[in-house]
Amino acid sequence: MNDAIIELTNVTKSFGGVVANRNVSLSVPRGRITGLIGPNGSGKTTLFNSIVGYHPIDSGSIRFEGQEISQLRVQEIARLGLLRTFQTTRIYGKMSCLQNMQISIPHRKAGFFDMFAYDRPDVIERAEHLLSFVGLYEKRFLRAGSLSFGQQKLLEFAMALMNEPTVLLLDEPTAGINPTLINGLIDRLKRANAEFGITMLIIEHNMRVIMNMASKIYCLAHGEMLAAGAPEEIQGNQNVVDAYLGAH
Amino acid sequence: MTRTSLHPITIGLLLLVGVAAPLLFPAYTNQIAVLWLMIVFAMTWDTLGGQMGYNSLGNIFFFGAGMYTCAVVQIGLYYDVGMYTSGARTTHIVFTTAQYFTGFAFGVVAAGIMAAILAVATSWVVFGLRGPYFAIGTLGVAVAGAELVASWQWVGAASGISMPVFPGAPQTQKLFFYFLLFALAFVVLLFLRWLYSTNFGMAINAIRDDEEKAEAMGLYTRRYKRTAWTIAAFFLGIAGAIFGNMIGFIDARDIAFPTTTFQYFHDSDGAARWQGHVLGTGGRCGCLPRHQGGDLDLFSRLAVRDARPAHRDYCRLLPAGHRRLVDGEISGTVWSPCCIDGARSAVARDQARTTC
Repeated sequence: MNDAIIELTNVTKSFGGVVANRNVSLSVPRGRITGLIGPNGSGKTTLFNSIVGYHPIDSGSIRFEGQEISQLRVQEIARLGLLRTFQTTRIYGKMSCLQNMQISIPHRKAGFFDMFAYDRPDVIERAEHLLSFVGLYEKRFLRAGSLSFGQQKLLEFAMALMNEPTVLLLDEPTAGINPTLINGLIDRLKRANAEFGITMLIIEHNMRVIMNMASKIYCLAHGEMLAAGAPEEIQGNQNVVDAYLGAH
Repeated sequence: MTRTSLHPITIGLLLLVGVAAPLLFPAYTNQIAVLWLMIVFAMTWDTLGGQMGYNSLGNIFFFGAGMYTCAVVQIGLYYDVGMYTSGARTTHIVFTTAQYFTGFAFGVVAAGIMAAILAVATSWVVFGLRGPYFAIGTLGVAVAGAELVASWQWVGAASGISMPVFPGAPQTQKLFFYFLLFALAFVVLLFLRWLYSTNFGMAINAIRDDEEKAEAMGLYTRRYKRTAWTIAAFFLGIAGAIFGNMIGFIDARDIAFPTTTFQYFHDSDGAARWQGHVLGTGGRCGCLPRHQGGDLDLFSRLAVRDARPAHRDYCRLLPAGHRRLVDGEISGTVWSPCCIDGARSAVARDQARTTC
C-alpha cells in the first residue's frame, strides 16, 4: 500500500538459538490505528523493540515514511517522529508531572545552545493542555513517581503526545489499568488519532479494546505472522483462536 | 529540586562567612580554603553523580590535569619545562612577581581549558559505559592518568613538580589562595544554580531517572552527558591549578588518591541540594577533629541506609578509603591538612603534622 507509514519486510530477530521474530512483514497505514496481538511470548514486544531500534534486526527491512531505519539508533528514530511507550510504565519518577511534560518536547531541531534555554510559556501551556487532556492537570505539580500506575500510564501517554510524534507505538496501554478507566483511555487514544492525526500501532491483550479501536489487526504466534485483517476477520480466524487457546 | 535561585540573604551569608572566616580564624586559613575546595569537588561531582545519576570516580583526573597544565604553563612561559623539572638541575630558578602572577593567570585559564578538552576526549570512551561500569571506567581514567604522568620525565615523573614560589609573605599567600578558592566555590555554586534552572537541569534529571526512556523520547542524552562532564572538568581544572600553587608541590599519584572521596562529600541520596554540599562537606571533611572516626561510621550507616540502590555500593566503599586517610597512612595528599587531630596513632599524627 502506498499510504503505509511503517513497512516491515521479512524481519527476523534471534536471541542466540531462540528466534523471536521470523520473516515478519506488516504495514501500518498512515493516520489509522493498527493492532498487534498474539499470545504471551509470541514476539510482539520484540518486534516493537526492533522497530524503534532497541534490538537491531538480523535480517529484513524496516521502513518509516519510506526511509530505512533498521540501522538507526533509538534516539535517531525517535527524533524522526516514531515514538513508543513501554509495557511497564516509564516516566521520570523524581520529577513533577509538568517537568515530565516539559522535557518531552520534540528534540528534532534542538541545537547545542537549546540545552541552556528556559522553557517557553507556550511549551508550559501545551504541557498543561495535554495534562488536562489525560485528566492529570490537577496533579501537574506532584512527583510523577507518586501517581498511581494507571495515572502514570496516562502521563506517559501525555508525554508521548507532547513529543508531537507522527507514529506512536503503544505497548499494552490498558494493562494494569482499572477497568472503569479503560473506556476513558480508549476515548483518549481515539481522540489523539483523530484530533492530532497520530498514526498508532498498538499491542493489546484486551480484545474488547483492540477490536474497538483498530482498523486492521495483525496476529503473531511463535514469532511468525499468523493472520492479518480487519477486526471481524481476525475474530473469526480459527488459527488465531487456536493460538490463544493453546491449540497452535 | 534545585530549580529556584538562591535567596539573596543566603548569598549574603555565604559571602559573609567566606570573607570573615580567615579573619576570625587566621590559623585555620588553609584548612578553610581546603573546605571550599571540597565544596567545589562536591558540587562538580553532583553534576554527574547527583543530578545525572552517573557515579564518576574519575573527577580527580581533571583536578590533576589542571594542576599539571597550570604548572607547565607557568614554568614554560619563562623557562624550559624539562630543564626546570630535571633532577640534574643545579641552577636555582626564581620567578619575579610579574612572572609569577602572569604565569599563574595564564595557567589557571589553560588548566580549565585543558581539563575541558580532556573531558571531551575521554567522554567518547567513558560514556559508552553505564552504572557500575561507568564508575570503574572513570576510576580507570584517573588511575591511568596518574600513572602516565608519573612516568613522564618532562613533567617531573614520579618526583613531581615544585611549583614556582609565591612572591609574598606566607600569610599573604594563604589569604590569596583562600580567597581564590572561596571565589571559585561561590562562582561554581551560582553557575550550577543557573544551569539547573535551564532545560539542562531537567534533561540530566531525566537521564538520572530513566535514561532509556529519555533516549526513547529522542533526547540527546550523549550530548547532555558530555557537556555535564566537561563543565565539571573545567571547574576542577581551575581548582587544581589554584590548589597546586597553594600547596607548592604536585605529584600525580598523590593527587589521584582521593577519587572515591568525591562522593563522600556529596549528599548520600543524590538529592543534590547545595546545603548538602556546603554543610555536608564542612561536617565531613575533617575540620571537625577528634571524632572523625565516629562521624564517619555514623555517616556510613546513614549513607547506606538512605542511599538509593545505585549509590549504596559506593557508599559502602568510602569508609575504607577515608579510614586510611584519617589514620594518616596517606601523606602529602590534598586532605592532609585535616588529618592531624583525626589520626589515631602517634606515628600517623606525626606524619600528618609533617605534611601539614
